[in-house]
Amino acid sequence: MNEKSELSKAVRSTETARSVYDILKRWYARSLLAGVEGRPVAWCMVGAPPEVLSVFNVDTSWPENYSTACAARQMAVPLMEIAEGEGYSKDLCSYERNTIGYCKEYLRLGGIPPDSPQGGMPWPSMLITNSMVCDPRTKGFQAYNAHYLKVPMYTVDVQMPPYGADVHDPKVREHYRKYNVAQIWGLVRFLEQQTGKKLDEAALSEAVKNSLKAQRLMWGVHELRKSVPSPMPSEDQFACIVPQLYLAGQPESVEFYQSLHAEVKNRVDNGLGVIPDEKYRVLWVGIPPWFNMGIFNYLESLGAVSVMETTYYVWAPVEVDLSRPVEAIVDIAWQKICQIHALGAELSTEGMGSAGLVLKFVRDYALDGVIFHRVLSCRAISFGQAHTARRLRAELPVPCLFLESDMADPRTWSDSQIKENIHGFLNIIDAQRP
Amino acid sequence: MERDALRGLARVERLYADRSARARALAGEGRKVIGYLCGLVPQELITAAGLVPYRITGNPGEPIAEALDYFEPNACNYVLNCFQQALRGRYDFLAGIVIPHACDTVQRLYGLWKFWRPPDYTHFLNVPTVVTPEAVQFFREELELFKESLETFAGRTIDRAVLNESIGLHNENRRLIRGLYESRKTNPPALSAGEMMRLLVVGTAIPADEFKSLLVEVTEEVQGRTVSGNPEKVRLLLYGCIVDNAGLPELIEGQGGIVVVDDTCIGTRSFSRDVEIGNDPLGSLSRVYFSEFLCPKIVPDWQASRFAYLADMAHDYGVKGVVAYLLSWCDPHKFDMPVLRDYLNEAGYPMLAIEDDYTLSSSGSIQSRVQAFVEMLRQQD
Repeated sequence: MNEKSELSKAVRSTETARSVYDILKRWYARSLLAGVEGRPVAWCMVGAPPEVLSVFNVDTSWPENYSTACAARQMAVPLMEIAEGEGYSKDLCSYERNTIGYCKEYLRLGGIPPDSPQGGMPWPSMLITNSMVCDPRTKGFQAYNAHYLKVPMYTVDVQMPPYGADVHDPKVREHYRKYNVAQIWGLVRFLEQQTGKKLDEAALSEAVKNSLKAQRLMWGVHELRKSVPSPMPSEDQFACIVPQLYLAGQPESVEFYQSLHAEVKNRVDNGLGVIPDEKYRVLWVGIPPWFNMGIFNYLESLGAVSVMETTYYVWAPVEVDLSRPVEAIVDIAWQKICQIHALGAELSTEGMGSAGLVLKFVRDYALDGVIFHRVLSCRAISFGQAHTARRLRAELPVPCLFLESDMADPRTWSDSQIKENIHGFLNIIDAQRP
Repeated sequence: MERDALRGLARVERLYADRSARARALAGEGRKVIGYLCGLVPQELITAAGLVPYRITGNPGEPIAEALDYFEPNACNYVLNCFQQALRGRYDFLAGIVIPHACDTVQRLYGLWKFWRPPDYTHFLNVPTVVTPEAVQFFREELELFKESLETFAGRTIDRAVLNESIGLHNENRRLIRGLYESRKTNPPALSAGEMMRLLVVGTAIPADEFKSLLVEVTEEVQGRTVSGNPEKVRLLLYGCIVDNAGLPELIEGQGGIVVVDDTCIGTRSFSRDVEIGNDPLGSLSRVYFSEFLCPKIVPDWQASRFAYLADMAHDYGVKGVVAYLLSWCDPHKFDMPVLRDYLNEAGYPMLAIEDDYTLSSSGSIQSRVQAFVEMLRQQD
């Protein structure tokens, strides 16, 4: 139990989750070396397909991930304050504010700011973003490219069917598929232009195959996490997203999830839980506070385990024709969209705000309560929480707790109030037990 | 056609006082009224289907309450306010709604409205983020799907001739509005910013043919005016997202400034370009409502030079500075702000950014800032 420090890193349960740090170190070092050697480096936003980037041997930095690293090391605030001084509102995505501050500081110093987490991000030769999930991922990249970077930029514009669309209607499917395939081909042409290389379709096919393998393993881990006691908590999963989001398609990613799956299965087989006496099983909805992942350990000190989470969820495995890998990337996404729509998709086709998913998890994971983390500077992920709580009250009564802070901005954290709310929430769960 | 003893700006005042009265009356007579949000929805298609387009707005005087049971508090207050009107039954006269993917909040609004308060007809119009030939084609297909859904709902085919006729009517309204904007190039302008705003807001709540006759009346009235007033007011350009009431322009006017032109959703973004009448009306609508539409959500390019049209507009109308009106939590506009501010500064047009929650409830502080800005501009002369 950590009552002394308000903000702390998480102590993780699984060895595999702890090994993510080594992967991160190697990955950042590769990108930094590429920058030093003058090879292409792309700054990318999650949603840009890493498989395509990997076959062009383009090294990558992901401002989103870098911002979580800055937040975890309590180094984000000075960078965000620089962005705010430039006129970027405190309302705006804290990842983007952190990155804007980084750009400005890089220019001021003429290089990577000293003591940057993971050695920092090398100055990019190109930007690759996308329009999935939220506006800031296009608007933020546009802003710091116009203000500071001034490098070639490609936006993968992903279009998704709205709530209520018949996703099984071939006409609807073709409307979206045609456009989204053209977007990925556009990325390919952009990378061909930037690198002078042609797409190796066989290599891309292999990368997509690896990606599917990793996703299947991750899905298996999610299934294993239904076990009681919980074998793997949310703070571990939030570390384990790194290969899935940033290194998809690489053999290293498959090896990581093989190792994770084996470890979690072993824990389930031997009845090893996150804590010895699991009293409360809760769901975490929303992005976590990267600057205070220790909050999950605090929950555990009270007998509560966050056994599952909605954000970064890997949907059920799918099968696609890999002979045309560009199209396969879109077909994989479409099959996931179909899964999301089967559950409702009222708020967002990306599924992270899906009330249906939360209702399903409450049933499948034998949950006692739901914690909604209302992330102030990330509207896109927070949207749907009030709606979901409303549906829960009507359809599957389970205690809900709303915590309000942010993903990377610790100035929003009110420790005593949040802890008081957590205590009250657990008391309500106790009171409602049969 | 509505019969009314009042004419011109007097009729505008009466309609503005109860903006949805005419639409409610039409609904009572059996006409189907379709509510839409943002400037990305082609009203021509709704009119061509024999339906009445009605722009959904909020009520700035009302604090947000029950909308928070459905939406997060860090969502755009304008959108929350609009949804609250629906929750309070004030949009029960709407037979349907059309919501475009204008931003994250508006996109999510569609699902919430459809889930909790579904009218007979709902349609979501996807809008690409980039402007490429594929994106233009995608939006054109979106319009085709929209047209088909309207045809099904209205039980009426929208053929090319009918659509072109509707485009012609809406173009005529655009032409008349542009004429009124021209009258604001004089110093002082022949039409105040408050009068102009009330006219535009009213125009989004009545059928296009009724708006046309109103515009004709107002144009005659303005042409007959002897321009008088205080030529010392500082001419300003109003930039921002949604300004759907006369409160802000009138507040600015009270502090020694005068808005003579704007770049806002209900303002110039909606009428500065005509839709071409011809063999491919959906293609023409795609250009005006998407590829040439000036919305921060659409990212044609990342360079700051994308704001060149604003400097041109400022020059044409002889403005001294720009007031940017920003709604709290509005990502698309707020991310543009620092780049836009620097661009306009270099072009010789200082900018004042005002942040508000749509209510103008902190009008005292806004007044002080506008007053100081106007004074600064005056001293630059």
